[in-house]
Amino acid sequence: MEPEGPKTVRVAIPEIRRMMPDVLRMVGIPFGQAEICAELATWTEAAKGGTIVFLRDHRERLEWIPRPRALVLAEDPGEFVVDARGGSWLELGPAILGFAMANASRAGYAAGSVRNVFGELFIRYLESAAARHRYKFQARPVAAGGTGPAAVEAQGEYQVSCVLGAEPRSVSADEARYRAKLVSGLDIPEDEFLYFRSLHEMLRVPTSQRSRSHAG
Amino acid sequence: MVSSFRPTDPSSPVTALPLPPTGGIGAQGPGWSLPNWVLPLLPDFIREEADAVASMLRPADEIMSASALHSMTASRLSFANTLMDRMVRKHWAITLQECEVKADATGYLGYELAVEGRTYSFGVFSNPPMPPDHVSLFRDTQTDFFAAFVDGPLDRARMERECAEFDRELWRGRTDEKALGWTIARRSRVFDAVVSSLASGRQPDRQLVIDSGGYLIRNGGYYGNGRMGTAAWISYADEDSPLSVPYYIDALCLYLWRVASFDVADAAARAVNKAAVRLDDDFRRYFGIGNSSGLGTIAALIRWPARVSAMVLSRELAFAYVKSRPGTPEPGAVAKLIRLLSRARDSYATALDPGAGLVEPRLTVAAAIDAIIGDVRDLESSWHTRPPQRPWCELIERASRHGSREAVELVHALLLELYPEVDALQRVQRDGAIRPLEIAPEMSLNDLCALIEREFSWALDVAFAENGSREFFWYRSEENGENRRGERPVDLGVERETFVDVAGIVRRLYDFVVSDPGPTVGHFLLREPEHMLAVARVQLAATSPYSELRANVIDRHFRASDGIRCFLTLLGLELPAPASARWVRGVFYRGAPLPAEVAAGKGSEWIFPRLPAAETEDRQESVGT
Repeated sequence: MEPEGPKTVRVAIPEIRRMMPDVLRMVGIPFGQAEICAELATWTEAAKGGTIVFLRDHRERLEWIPRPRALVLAEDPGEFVVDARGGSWLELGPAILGFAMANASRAGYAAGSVRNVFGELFIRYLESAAARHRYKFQARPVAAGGTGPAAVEAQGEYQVSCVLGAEPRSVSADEARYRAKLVSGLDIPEDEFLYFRSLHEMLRVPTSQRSRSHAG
Repeated sequence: MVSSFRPTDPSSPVTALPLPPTGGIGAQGPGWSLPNWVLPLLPDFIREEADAVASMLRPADEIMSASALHSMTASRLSFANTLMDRMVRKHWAITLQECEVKADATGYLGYELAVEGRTYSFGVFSNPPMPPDHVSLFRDTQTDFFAAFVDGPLDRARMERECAEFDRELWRGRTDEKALGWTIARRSRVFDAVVSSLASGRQPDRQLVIDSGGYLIRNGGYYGNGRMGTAAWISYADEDSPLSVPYYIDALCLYLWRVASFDVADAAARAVNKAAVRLDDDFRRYFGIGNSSGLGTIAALIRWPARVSAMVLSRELAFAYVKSRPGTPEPGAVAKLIRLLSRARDSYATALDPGAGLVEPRLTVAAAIDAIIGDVRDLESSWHTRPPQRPWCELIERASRHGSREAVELVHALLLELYPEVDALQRVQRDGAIRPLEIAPEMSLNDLCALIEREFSWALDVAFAENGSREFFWYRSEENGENRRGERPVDLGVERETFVDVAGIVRRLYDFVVSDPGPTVGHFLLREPEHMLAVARVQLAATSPYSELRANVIDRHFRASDGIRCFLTLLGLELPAPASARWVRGVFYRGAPLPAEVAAGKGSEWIFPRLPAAETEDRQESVGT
């Protein structure tokens, strides 16, 4: 008899998307970013998997305060160097993509590097989002001092390029998977789902008699 | 009270990047052009005159202000109304297949729906009633009625499992994608009296019906689109699907509750006395389904600006189209309008008045409608000697002299009944609702500032330093996540507040960017990413008109009931009646066709029904006891 696999929970993407902003707030991402980053986080969970595990594994680092603010170390037409100062692609990815697109919109092309950043998992979303707006965005880890995901994360440096006016490309495998999951839903290991839901519910406020009088 | 769906479909043909040249519907009023994404969605007969129609659109500062929300009414384009129209046109069949109800009105009812080649089922469980004085709240752990709406034929065992899961886990329960949603409801205070009446062989007393507020049971909310493991709306929202329009499934479940309310009452009366009379069709038609919605509605309304835009824009486009109609109206149009206005007047004259400034006094509205009926007659007689250029524009202008904004809104809404072709604007409703909230990083900061000044001058005008301007915050309680509103200076939980403060985030964004030397939004957000949400909303407002309530909702003086009313009337709620500044009650589907009529394709002009004639209640039937 084959051993049973881990128990899973079927979850619809809108359910994850609806909960995600609150979940991101509970790992320290300010609400002004959480709504935008939630799209990235949800897409990644659907298309590639791993968002919830990432939140669990990196929660302490994500919660670090003061919040990371990226710094532009150098910028010339078509070139830039950005220091993410310990932030993640999850939290700063949309802002970095926007910066690259703004640069590319002026010079037609922008290339550079992003340092001191982690969470490579989320880059595929950024590439997909850029493609929807006719940009070709790429971020590739700088290889140095070893191989494998751990080495990449330790290095934390990415070569980035963004080209304006890229030809519309066919739907990527990730994007196709995301669209399919929109219809079918996701099977998430139960422990991951319960962790995710517990983060979501942490944003709720303890009740009291006075609090009850606020209902409406 | 209704579910929200998440429009995440990336195949949506619209995009916010890069922003087209803007021409918003802000304080400037007429003179702007329609956003680019709207034009392909317009029916030909409107697209051909897009400029003329656009020139009649009302400014967002006028339509989305707190005072305007206070007067909003349902219209032909409200979701419940367009759904009803589709149900009748497509002969939807709703059949009660199983009914096991005891004398205390507890039991089970199973419905099957044959809908445009598809089969759905609706299983209702009627529980012992809550105490009569119980105020229903989301934190409740029991409910009078529970129902599951499932894709596929009726399956009693499945319905039992859905109900058991809800009983065990409430809103933390899990189902699967065959279930489209769960919904709950509660008996009205006259439910038992109606059952007693039927059991004793009499139709309900007319005064009882008036006192009932027009319903036997009250909806307590529909929860689907992925909640508890239900199917995602997008999974059954393909273009041809009967439920492809946002909120149709919510509106359908409301209708099913209405149907169930009659069947439970009838069955309970029969269980008491086999010779009980059946609730007369005239009463059935008059009764709608009650609804009560609270603070969570405000959070939903603010969370989804694209949906608000789509709902209001389609409606305003319809109003503008009607007002731009030239020449003398078709024969019969005036008579129909007067008929509808008369029924509306009578409904207002007899409706319960919540008082305390929560609505315009009902009698004031009724009197204004009466005066407007006179205006219509005057205008019609003048058309013989002076053919009108734009007759309905003239009528609206006159109507606005009678001191009731709600009456003016009502005239707008009723005029749509003369032009059923405006239903084609549902495409704007559907596609506009799934516009993504995205950022155009290429925009210059100067343009962003100009955009804020144009579209959010109302937010920049808020006196944030004034005492009470930031009084409230919204939050979700640990009790089922119930939405609540606390007072910022004294209550715990501010750090976990639900986002509703649009005016605040836009003000802070403006303060940051107004003197920022950075060239683009992309540069700015790299340094200040916390402003992403504000930037996205500002940019969306440029191309999705009417997306924002133009009110500081956390101000001490803001009546949440006005915002709740806005949402509910867009869904189709008639005669909103706030129970307080935090709750709005009202009725859906009052006067709507009954299932047999729907299946037969019959039913039109059902809004603002008249109370059944006195003879209905006098129609005594002998009862063997």
